[in-house]
Amino acid sequence: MFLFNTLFENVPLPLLVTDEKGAIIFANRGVSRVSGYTLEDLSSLALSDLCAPYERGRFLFAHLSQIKETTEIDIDFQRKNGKFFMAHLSFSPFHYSGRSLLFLVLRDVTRRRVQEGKKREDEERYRKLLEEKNRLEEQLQRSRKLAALGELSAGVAHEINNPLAVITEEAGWLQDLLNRPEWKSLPALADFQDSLREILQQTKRCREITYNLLRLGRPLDMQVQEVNLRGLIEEVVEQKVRETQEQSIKIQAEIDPNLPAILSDAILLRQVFLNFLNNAVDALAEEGRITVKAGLSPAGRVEVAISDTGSGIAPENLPRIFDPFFTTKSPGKGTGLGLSLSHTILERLGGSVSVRSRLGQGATFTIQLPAGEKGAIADAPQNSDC
Amino acid sequence: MPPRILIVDDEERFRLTLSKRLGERGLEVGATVGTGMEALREIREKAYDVVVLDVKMPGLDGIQTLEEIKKINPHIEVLLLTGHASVDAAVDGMRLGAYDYLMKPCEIEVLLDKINGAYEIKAGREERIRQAEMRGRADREPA
Repeated sequence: MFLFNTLFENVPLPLLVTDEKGAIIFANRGVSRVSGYTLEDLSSLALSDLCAPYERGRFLFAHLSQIKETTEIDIDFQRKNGKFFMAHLSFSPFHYSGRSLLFLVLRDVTRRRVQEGKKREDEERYRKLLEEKNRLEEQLQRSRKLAALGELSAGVAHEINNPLAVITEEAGWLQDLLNRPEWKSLPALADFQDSLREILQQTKRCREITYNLLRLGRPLDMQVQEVNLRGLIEEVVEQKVRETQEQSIKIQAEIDPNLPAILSDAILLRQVFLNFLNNAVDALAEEGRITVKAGLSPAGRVEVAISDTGSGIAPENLPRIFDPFFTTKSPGKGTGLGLSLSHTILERLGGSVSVRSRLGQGATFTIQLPAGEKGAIADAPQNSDC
Repeated sequence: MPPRILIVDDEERFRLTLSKRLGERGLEVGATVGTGMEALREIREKAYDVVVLDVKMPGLDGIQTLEEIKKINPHIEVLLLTGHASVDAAVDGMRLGAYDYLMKPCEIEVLLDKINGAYEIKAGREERIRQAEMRGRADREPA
């Protein structure tokens, strides 16, 4: 027995024996070392006295007698000098001389827990970096896809423009002929004129499409200057408010008063904001709310979020939302080039756009733009090929 | 006197119909040709006021043709027709002395305005040169 007592007292591992109410019956030097209490102090203390004040009300301390098998918990202890440390306690019940006692092994796990916490923080940081990497990769893939599609579209558009020019001239020539006095008595003159007007109207529509397609694939002619974004947004919103007067659509702008002027292209930006607002109006059908919020992002970029309370975008459509010709609108309502062109313009202005949406719960397009540095704007290669 | 026009475009049907439509509006289209080389031959042989010139053509392209036209006769005004709205191509053309540029397909009335504008510039310049020459002659003649 002497051997065991000696071992118990001198082993570096903190060991305790308590009764079933937690009163310390025996504590070794290890406990004295980690707690700062003398062995004499310890003999008059209860287990809960060693714990941090906020741990003393634990359910376990009031029910120690109910521990029937080895139980392990993490608990904060408080040293005699008031400092806290994290401990791992294992309670093992045993009987001695007809009494129910508990054998406790205490380990100071402060360092391990701190390291684990740091590891968790590192893991969290790594997870965020990975997410950011994936997001950038996705953005890059999308840009590559759009660039390839844009180039193809521009090529097709260019080839279409020549026959379109011929159609325009031929139809125009027929109009010229019909305007001659000798044709005035033609029986179906009005029908001919009407048809020709329609042909020219539709050719004009094609020309607008090819014009936008060409802009997708070609470097844009940018006029970079100081842009009063606040004024620009207010102007575009006012325009849309006027245009939607007949509908039950509420459009409001919430602009941070500290929004700085930026170096960008006002005409291109105007087109981008109008495209997103048109898209939001179309998503609402006849009624709903559109909000344009502008301010600075935590990263110091200018952020403009355009939200609508419309029908939202189906998850399967989200990855294709910026593809040229992708549209869910009915024929004649949209060519599917507006968002694609806006995406291209924003990239060339050194910005980006992302979308969040749930079906039936509206959509938010968030535009980010560099806040001021001229160098941030993409220096697109120029091309004078016609 | 109406301006005398040369139309240069590799799309035959386009240049022929455009020619008829400009003629219908009182302009004199002297010729329509399909290449830059043919255009230069026309310029050397006949008098033209305004050239309507397509930018994208096989062989000598519009910009090269413009350069050569200006070497042969710097007073001829040139209107460029571009396949797309590249301001860069237009700026290149303007730097080389083009009067203006238009995107294909274009409205006939817009083209007409540009042709008339180009012709006025050319006619005004020629008139000033003529008067200067007359003044020079008068100065040289003994009183």
